[in-house]
Amino acid sequence: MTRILHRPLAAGAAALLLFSAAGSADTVNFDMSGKIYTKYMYQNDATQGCLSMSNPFWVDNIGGHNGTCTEFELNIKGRVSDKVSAGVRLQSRWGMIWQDWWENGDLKPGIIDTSGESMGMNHAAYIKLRGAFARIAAPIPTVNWITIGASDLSMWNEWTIGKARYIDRDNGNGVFIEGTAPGKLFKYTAGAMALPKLWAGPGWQTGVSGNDPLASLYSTDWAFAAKFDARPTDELRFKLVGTLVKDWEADRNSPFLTGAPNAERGADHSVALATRFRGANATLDGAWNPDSWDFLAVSGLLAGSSNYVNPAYATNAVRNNQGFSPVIFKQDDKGNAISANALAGTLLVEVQDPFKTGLSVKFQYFNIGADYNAIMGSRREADVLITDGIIAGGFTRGGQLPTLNIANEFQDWDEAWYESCIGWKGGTALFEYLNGALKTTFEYTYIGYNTNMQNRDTKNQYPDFLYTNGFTDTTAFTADSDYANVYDRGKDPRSIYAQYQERRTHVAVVNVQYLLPKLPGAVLTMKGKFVDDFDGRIEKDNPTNSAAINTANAKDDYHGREYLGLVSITLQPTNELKTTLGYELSFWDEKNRDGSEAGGFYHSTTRRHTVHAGLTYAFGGALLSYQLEYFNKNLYRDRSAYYDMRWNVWRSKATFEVGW
Amino acid sequence: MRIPIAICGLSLVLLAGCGLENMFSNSFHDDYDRPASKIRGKAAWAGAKISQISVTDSAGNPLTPFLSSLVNGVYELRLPSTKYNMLVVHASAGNVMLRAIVPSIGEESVADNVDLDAVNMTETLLVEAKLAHDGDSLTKVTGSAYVGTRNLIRGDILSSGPTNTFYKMVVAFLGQYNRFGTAQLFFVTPEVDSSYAVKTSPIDPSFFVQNPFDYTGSGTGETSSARFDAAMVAAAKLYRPPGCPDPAHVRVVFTADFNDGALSGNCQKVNKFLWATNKPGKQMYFVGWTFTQDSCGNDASEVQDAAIDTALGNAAPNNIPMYDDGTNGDEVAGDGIWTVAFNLPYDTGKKLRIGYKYTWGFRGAVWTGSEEWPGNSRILEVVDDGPFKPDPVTGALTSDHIVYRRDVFGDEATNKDCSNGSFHVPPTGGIDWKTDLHGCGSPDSHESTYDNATCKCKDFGPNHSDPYPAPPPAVVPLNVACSSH
Repeated sequence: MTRILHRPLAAGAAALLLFSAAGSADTVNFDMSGKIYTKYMYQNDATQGCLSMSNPFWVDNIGGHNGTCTEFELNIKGRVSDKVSAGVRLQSRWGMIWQDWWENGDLKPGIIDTSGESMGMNHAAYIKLRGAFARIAAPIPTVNWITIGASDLSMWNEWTIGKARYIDRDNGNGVFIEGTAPGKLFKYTAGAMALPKLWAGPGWQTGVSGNDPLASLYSTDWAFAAKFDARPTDELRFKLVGTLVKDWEADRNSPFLTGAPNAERGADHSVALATRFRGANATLDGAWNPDSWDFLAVSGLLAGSSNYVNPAYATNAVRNNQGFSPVIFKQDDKGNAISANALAGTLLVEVQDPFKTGLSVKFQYFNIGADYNAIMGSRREADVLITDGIIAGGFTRGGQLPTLNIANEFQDWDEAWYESCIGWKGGTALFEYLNGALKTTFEYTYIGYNTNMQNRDTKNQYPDFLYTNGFTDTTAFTADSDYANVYDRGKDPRSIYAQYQERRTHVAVVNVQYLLPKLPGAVLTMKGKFVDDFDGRIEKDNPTNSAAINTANAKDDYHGREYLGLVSITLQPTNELKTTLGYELSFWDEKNRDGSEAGGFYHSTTRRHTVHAGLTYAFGGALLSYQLEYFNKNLYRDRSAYYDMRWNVWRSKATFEVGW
Repeated sequence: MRIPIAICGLSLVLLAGCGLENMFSNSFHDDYDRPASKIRGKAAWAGAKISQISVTDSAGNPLTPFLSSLVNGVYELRLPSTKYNMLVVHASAGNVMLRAIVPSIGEESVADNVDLDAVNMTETLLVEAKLAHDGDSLTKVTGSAYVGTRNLIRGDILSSGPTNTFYKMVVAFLGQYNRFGTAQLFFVTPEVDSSYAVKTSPIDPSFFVQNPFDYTGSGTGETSSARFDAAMVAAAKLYRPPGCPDPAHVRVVFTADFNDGALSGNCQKVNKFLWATNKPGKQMYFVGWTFTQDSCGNDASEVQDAAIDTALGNAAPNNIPMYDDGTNGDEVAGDGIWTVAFNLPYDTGKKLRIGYKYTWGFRGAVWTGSEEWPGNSRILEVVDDGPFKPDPVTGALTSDHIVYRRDVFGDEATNKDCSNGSFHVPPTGGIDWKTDLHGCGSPDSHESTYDNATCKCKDFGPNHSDPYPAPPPAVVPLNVACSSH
């Protein structure tokens, strides 16, 4: 058991051993499960691999569109005693394609040859310990469980520390205490979590010397969190979550590090820590479901964030990395680093068929401060607003998250995309009508932007992610080492700040689902979507702008309109088999999308046809899925500035899973 | 209320070991200031700004403080923490340029009272004038030796005499701050030639065009800087900015010529690899020791000191590196002449004799394959023979306080003791402490007086008239602070 415990967790380990002295594992208490997952990918291009969008920064050798890969996962859980349980997950490394015969894990950097010893561990399918945990029900007043080890961090929320994305689901480790106050006044959870050195700080790291010359210490970095969940009445629930992310570095001016260990210098064989990054987030959310009005549900959330970056220990990525940064490098008027503080709030009112006519409605108000940021908030696979948003398409889903740290990476072309909703201010009205075989929804959303500002400092403080203009085509998005959409320069989904912005957006969405009679399991689905996105950029006659700027940029207004239509039909001829066939047409008309204030802006239009077919077949514990997609896209641009582009892309993805 | 507090407390205790200790231990910690070598002083002129103040090293190169401030008329410049020698703080304000010398600053220490005022300006002008006259610069002055001059100047400012007279003139000029425009007219760095003629006055001549004024107290408006310059020179003559020779120590310098074709004491090309072997990565090393009686009967050193042995390498080869990279006293990088210098005790009444050799080897390598020759050693009696130069204050001829051996690697016809290869070697086959192989008037065991390059005695210098070779310019005498004029 001690193998899974890390030295810093010694206190917890001691407690664990203490309380589990009477326990012993035997096969009766063992629970083992296994899963084989195989994925086949095809695309009519020359890439090879089993992952559509791999690591766009440290370009690896597993990303590509042609290949078949298999992984194996083994979960072992042990019930050591009534009070103690433990578990591990062992999984083979993803990336070995079936053609990779003999690859033994040796790496020849930059060379792929026939030795079977060239592509490294990514192609060797080695078994790795992906997660290990132990839980004890310690006899401590109010404490229900203490968990030591791996966690997906799902106990907090998207606005503070969010659930780890699927690929990171067991990478997080920490110590967690769950308990219930006497009288069940409230439940509580407290935790300390090791910060991921890879992405939870300025420069997407917490002090890795090879990436930030100003920092080198990451093993002292932790996040702390506490949650209190109270249900004072059956109708009312409150939840308070507070988190603190602390990225520490050794104070490089500690006397012990700067000279002789002479007591007169103040050197005392200790090294103080200096803050590289500090992120504090808190939320108070509540839900009210009155018994007397059971059709009504009201829920809301108030959130606050405060993020401080110490420029002495964190290289300013806004300045030095083309505006790619998951944090704001906020400064005061004198250029001193200060905290970026902001509040956010949402209020959702749901009225569920009040007149028994099949008509329901939801209203959501949202107002998210321009400087709000949850560095460890959910990076994907979650959604904090009910709107379809801007980024979601027809076959491609989407969501909104309040972080600059969104991760549209390590995913396939059929997976959802996420956009940052930092700065969004507006509301959504979502009507749903159910009548027999028909279900239809209509959404209208207005988005104003707290990020609207003239002459925002995007050179030193606010990240603009380099490409800030235009709709993001998630279908054709490609990335390379600069994280940008290489060919079709749509907006980076994290790009929420611009030097000049005067923006507002209207979103209208209609969804229709109809159960077709007589055909087995047949569902006709239709979706229509319209987005009107306007950004006046430089606000005319704004007193904060110079006269020259106001007059020189009279034609810089961006105005994008997106029209989307989708129709698909799903058939389920047997219980095991389900098929889908659909077509999507997207048309974007974007005035002044590409260019710059200095060089002027140019129009572009995009037309995309997508045909999508898919099936799933489940049989006796095995599951097969297959999706085939063809899309034809034409991007027409101002020929005086850019050339046109066309996509003719066939691609497919099949998966086969079997578990036991 | 107690329950939540208890739960929080319990949580904190249980979470210890998860980085919470850092929260506790750092909660009241403000980041340490960057270690600095600080210069602090008064900047009392009207409208002083920190941007007007800068600092240069002894060669005049600007140094960049990582933090500068000016609060209530006191400036502070924070330089990266290290040892600094002979810095100059500059202020350019209006029509005046002020300077103050900082003799030295240590690591994480403060040079305080570096006031940009008349006292420091007077001192700086006198030092600049004297160094210019001597053909020296601040680069050849060490702070510890300089402080004696500083103390003398400051003492003289307080009592009547040339320095006090000059100081009063400086004060008078400072009274002209920001009159008649802001062109920087004083105090320019003076240029003084070897005859004490002032080539560039600290006062720009154009100043008097606008403003004839009485800076001497004579009641007459002066129209030139002549009397100011004369007063400056009169005072400057009194001081030795580099300090006074250390009576108890002497600088001993060795150079070894490793060039192909270098000549021996027999005026023949030396085979430098007769005994040593050459391999890539080898370099020149010096190895020495206090001399004990050798196999051919030469007397031992009268001074026996373990510290000297240690300094010279304890007779262990390939440990004391010599330099041919333009540093550590070496004159020209890569010219094949390797240099090393030592500071050794010096007592004219008690002879220090050393044995030494050069080795061409790898660090820590053994003698074989690296030494000039097996067995015999070079011998040196540490005697400051010359050359003689006029004392910068009294004019009396004094030796240069440097003992300089200019050798050729592998030259067995020079100060090699028992088996000397010179054509002029005595019948014993070796030399003793008094042997003068070439009749140069000085033993071969003393400073070099025979020029291998020209095969003549006392044939050094551009005019072949100097009796001793000039040591590398970067090698300066050992000085100490002067206690009197």
